[in-house]
Amino acid sequence: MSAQPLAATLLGRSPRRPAGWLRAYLVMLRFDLSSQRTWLPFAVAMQILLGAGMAIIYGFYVPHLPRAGILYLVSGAPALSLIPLGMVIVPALTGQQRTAGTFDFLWSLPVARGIQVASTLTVCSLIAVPGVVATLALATWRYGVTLSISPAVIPAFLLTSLMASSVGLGLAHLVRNPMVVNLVTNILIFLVLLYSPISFPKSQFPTWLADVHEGLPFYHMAVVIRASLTTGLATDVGTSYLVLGAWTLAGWLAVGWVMSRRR
Amino acid sequence: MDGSPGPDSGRPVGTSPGDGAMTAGMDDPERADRWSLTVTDLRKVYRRGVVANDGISLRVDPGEVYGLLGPNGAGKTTLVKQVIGLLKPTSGSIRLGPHDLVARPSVARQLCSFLPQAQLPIDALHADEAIELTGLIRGGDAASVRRRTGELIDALELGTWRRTLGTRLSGGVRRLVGFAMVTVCPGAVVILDEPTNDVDPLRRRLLWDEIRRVAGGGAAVVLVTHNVLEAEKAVDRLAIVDHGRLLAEGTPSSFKVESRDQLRLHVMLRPGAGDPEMPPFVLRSARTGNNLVAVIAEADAGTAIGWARTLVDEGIAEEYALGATTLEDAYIALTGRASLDDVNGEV
Amino acid sequence: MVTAPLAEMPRLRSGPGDWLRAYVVMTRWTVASLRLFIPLLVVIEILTGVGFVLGFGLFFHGPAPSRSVLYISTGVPIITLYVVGLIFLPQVVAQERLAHTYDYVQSMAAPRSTRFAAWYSLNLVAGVFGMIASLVAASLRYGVDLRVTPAVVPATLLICLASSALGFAIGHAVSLPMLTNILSQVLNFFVIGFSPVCFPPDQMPAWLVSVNQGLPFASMSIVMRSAIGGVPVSGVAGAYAVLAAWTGASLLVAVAAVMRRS
Repeated sequence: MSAQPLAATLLGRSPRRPAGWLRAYLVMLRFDLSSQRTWLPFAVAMQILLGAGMAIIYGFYVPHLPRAGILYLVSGAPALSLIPLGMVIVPALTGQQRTAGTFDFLWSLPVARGIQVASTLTVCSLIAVPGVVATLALATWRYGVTLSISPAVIPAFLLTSLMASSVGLGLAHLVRNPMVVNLVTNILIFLVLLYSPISFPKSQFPTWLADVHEGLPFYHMAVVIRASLTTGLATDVGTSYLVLGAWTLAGWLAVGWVMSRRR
Repeated sequence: MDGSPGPDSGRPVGTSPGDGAMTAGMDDPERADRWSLTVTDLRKVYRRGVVANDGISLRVDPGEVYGLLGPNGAGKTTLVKQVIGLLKPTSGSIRLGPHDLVARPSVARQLCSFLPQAQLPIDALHADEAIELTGLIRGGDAASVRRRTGELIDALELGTWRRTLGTRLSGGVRRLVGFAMVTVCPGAVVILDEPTNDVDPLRRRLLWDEIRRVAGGGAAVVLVTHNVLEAEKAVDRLAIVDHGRLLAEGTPSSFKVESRDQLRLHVMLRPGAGDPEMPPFVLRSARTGNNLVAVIAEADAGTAIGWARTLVDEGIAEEYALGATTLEDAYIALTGRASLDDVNGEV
Repeated sequence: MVTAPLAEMPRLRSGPGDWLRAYVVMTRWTVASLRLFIPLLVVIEILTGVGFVLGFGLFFHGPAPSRSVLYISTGVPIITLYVVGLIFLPQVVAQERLAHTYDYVQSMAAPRSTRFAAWYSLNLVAGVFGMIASLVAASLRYGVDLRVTPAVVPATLLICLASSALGFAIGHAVSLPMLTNILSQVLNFFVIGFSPVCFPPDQMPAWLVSVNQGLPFASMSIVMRSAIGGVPVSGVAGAYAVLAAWTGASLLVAVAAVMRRS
């Protein structure tokens, strides 16, 4: 969708009434979807790499896992696959938009910034779906396990991908230099993959590290997803949902702060 | 060193069109300051069949500033990229003195300096550091490079930003630093692709003075620009390029030969005013926004002023100005479009 | 009064003296241009060298098996040696393309080989630093006792050279910046997870082992282990040859890419 019709459409809407908001949101959504379509292959590739890829790699490093351990590993793979969404894909996308000057255009439109952010987050969360599905398929096939999928899958995945996208967006707007963001996220991913009790139980981790992860979102992502894919393997799921909600809010606050600063 | 070659140098300046004689001092082919840059029948066709350069021939002599003027997409940047070896011609030759630059691009990079249109990668470098290192890379010795860096910084009034990191410089100042990088140790040919983009009018003059000095030192300077006024003021000879072809070549004044007895009447209309009826003494006219430019015969100057004054009295126009014709008119005649100048033509 | 800019005729530079001078300045230029990233590079080396070694222990319930420990301790140094040249530097080139500064860098007057030499030097310095950090960490954490022989010098030089050459080739041959990014990530993943560098080959499917026989990473592990011990290896001479071949091929690809003037 090109820029001029977009601007015309948005100008014609009243931003105050809820119906106006909804229409503006849908129009922005169409704009975002078409402009970010090119990122889909990259996003899916990264997610499969870090999700299924890591799950398979762990199997090489630790060859004789017991049955429960394998189930733990596989049910953690989607969390691993969503982390690059927030830490690599969203920041890279935002960085590219910033370099290309897209924000200067978007932010000059008479659309509430909140709507623009909502649209971006929707698209980023949608991008997550193929990657996660592929990851689960690969991991279950490789290890020959079957998962007991419950309806909790929907809120679990929605919340985790929303949280990952929100935090990623906040991070991307806080740090300006795209190469710095690139490096920082690569470093962080590395740390997260190694030091998070996602693929292996928390009991294998030193207590101080386990405590740190009570505050960070990564462990809780895994808990929430694991609870929806298995029975009896995840505990204290309610706390995890709360922590994820808090992190999502934090992401929104960061984005809101950066945008208001710009005015 | 004030920029114009002395009478004993044998180097021509402002060759008039049609003078194809080899008057450059070619008696000693070994001396760099006797080398001309000769482009013969250059053709560049891109993969999808786009003809960027269509048989261009030109010669730039040492000591002269040669302008390449044309609209965006005319093929100017493609041409200079082939000189510096970033692109390979489809056919044709480029020679510098005894060297074939097409066959030996590494020689081209050593003998030519190139300031590209895009920004330079100096984000993490201090301004003076960027200039000095580039001078060293170009083979200068440390002492002269340092001295010349200081001179350039002073000449371009960049003293305030001497130790500033590239990433913190404004676009125009970065451009000037880029120019200094390219001329601290200039080659036998200095190629400047739109050097005054983003540069403020005051520093633009300083830049032109510096370009003149570089040419005075014996380099052959190729100045790519889409700014007609710049082409007029800063070059010795220029070529108008469009659609990959060289349309005309000569000194700025030779282009205005036809309009020798003509003047330019510039009327600034009130915003929203309609097009006034053109009186019979107007030879040509064009309107861009609220600027109306009319070409009149010199003899009709008085009548024209009277007419303009009437427009002002009637509230149709706000101001008017009468002046000499510019290169713009020849440019429009040749390319069929206006340049991307602001029509006021302020420098 | 400004002095004449072109007082002397520019003479064509060639020969080792000129090359050396150009190399020194080009290295200064490269390092200065990356000034803002040097701290991040240090962090990367430490994280890779020390972080991976330590984090590896978390994969296991209880103490890690000693065989696995030996493999990690002798494998991580290889990662520290390749990470700057193979992963980071292609992204620098990709960034140049995005920022449209690639053309200028390609038009610089110094021979292009000096730019490669500058990268190699940077890779070597960073890599050796990371390697030492990882060896120390492994020794402290797992009590690993390695006997480092003088062969570690050619091993390090060659592993770094192969990595830089491959990174240089990727950076210049791949024109889409996003593709370069993906390629770097995939490569890193491949070496860490799908090549016998950090874990024994018998823990991999057989077909993966055969795939690795043509790739340089298995040879890197043989070359390194022949120099610092820990894991018994064979076919050392062949491994050196494979690495040399990969270096040569990468440089050829890089030269072709860089000389290509469309």
